[in-house]
Amino acid sequence: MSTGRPELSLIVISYEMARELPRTLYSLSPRYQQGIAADDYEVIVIDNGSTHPPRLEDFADLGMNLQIHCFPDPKPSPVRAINHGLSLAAAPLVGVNIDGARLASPGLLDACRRAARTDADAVVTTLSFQLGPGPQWITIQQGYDAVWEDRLLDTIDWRNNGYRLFEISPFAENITRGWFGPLNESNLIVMQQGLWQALGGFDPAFESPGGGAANSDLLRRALEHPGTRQVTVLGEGVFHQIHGGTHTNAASLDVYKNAAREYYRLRGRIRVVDAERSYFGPVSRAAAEAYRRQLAAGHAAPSEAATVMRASPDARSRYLSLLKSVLLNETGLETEVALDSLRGMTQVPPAFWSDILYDVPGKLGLALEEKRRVRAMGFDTLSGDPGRSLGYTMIGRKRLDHLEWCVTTALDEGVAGDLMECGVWRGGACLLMKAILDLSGDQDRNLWLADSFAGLPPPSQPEDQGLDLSREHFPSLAVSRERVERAFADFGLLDARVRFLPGFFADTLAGCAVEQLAVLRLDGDLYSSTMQALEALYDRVSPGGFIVIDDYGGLGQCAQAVDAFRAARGITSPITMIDWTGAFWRKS
Amino acid sequence: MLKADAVRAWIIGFLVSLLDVSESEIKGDTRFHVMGLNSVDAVVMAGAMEEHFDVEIEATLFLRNSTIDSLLADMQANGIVE
Repeated sequence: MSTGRPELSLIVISYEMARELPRTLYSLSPRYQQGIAADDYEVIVIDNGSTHPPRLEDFADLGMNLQIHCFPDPKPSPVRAINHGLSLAAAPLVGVNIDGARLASPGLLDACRRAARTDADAVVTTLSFQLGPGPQWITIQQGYDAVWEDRLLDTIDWRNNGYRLFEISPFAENITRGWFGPLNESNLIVMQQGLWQALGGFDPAFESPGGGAANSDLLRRALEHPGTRQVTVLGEGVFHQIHGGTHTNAASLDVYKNAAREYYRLRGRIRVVDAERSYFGPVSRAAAEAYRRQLAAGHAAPSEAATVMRASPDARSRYLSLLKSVLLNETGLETEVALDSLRGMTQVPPAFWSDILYDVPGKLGLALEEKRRVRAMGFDTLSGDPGRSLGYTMIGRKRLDHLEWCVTTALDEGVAGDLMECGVWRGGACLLMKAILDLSGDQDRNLWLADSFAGLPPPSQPEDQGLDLSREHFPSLAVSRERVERAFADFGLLDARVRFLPGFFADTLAGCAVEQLAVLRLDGDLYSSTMQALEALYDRVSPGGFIVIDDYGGLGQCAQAVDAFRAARGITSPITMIDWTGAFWRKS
Repeated sequence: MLKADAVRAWIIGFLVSLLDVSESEIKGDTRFHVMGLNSVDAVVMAGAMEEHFDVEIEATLFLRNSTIDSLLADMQANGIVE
């Protein structure tokens, strides 16, 4: 149906792909491809020796400018078949898809065409994804097969929205050094006809099954050719279907090793070309989501808007209960107890790995029960090593429950102001406050986190003498801002209403931008820290607001500061214990 | 059997070329992943080393060691390196 010289020729190699090739060709057809007309391109399938080669008539309904040729001298390596295809290409721009099992995303051909226009000697490279839950050479060993893949494809209606292929293809195979690192190959590569000729096509010396490292070699030679520029297309990609492919599905490491061996023999060295690249979009929303996951492993950038949640009362209660469990690491106590059992040992007993780690209730039952009790009561603060907890907070279930009550009450009663904690450690109490804030639908209040994010200061006032909790002695109390911020992101609670005040209280609190507070939680341990926070912030607590002191019962220095401050200000609102150490009062 | 010094020098040269770093950045006790090497690279290194020294080396040997020092020790234990 060609009506003239196409702009783009695309070479596709097939070998025993009765299941995969029809999908691939559909994905390359004008019924699916967007932004490019049927006459703009031709697809040339070179079959490299299939028992039952594909037939042109089977694809007549795709309405595409399609040729299918059977390579007369098929070899295990597709390299000669590719070069045969290159000799048939009629367009000035030529792409090669070395593996006909790779589906295209809907804007791929148009994006490649437009990317090629950005530079006279553009080497247009594309990202390669693998369908299924992970790298296929691993997942097939775990049961991933054609049936599984067919089921996955059926669930996303990819023929009508090919960008949904990103949803089922989290693994990108050719960007092993990260999204913006060099590609080790490009499974669809597009260049001007003249550049293909200058390179002499693929090197027929690569005789390994599947071509070995011929594709990587082609890319490296293209990028090292004088004057070329790599343009990588983002937001589109090819998606590998599982098949008997030599490389992608190879369970044996020897296939990779032998390919490398052949490459080293032919080229004398192995190098990834990491020159400056251009990137070409546009990026679909689905692809952007895939990038976001890959770039940050789920670490979302804070949004400007408050991240409110809508939940039924029952869901709210269960969410907060589960959140507290996670903050206290109640779900990971077995691991903590197992690790505790190794303390002081110079060698890990072999039974630890084979037995104890997987049967903590059976082997370390008493220690586990004790740990559960200590965690619930918030006794971690008292233990010899305060950093021993691997949770996000050491304050125990009861103080978390009480903090929920404080915040909820302040919100219900309309007490004006923000929420704040001074001394946040890993952020657990703040995470809970932010979750409650989001559940309430509030979009105006800030949550303030004041901390040095580098541990406590050494004692500087007479009242604190002997209480040195500084980083030098207790490195586990020093948690960086990045880690706390990351925790907020991990819990889906990071937005612009989460405000950080990094630095020692003496330097940050007096002049900070906090205007009004509904809940002020102090967890600074020391006399000095507690007094500095009260002096700087108490007057900003609204009437009816809560002042929560974490260490009132546990640390005499802290209690001394609170009592001295209350006495100096004539505060008569009763101070009430929450548990063995936490205390609070409401501002009248 | 291969000479340990020759193998060490080859590994360093290979990594310098592959990773495009200076020789001073490649230390015997630096973990491969810190250098930017991944498991595929390790297998690639195995293939290249086989070709260079004309020996058979199991790819897993490269995957179970995380530094040049431990890799060499493992190769010695397996009778590949003196």
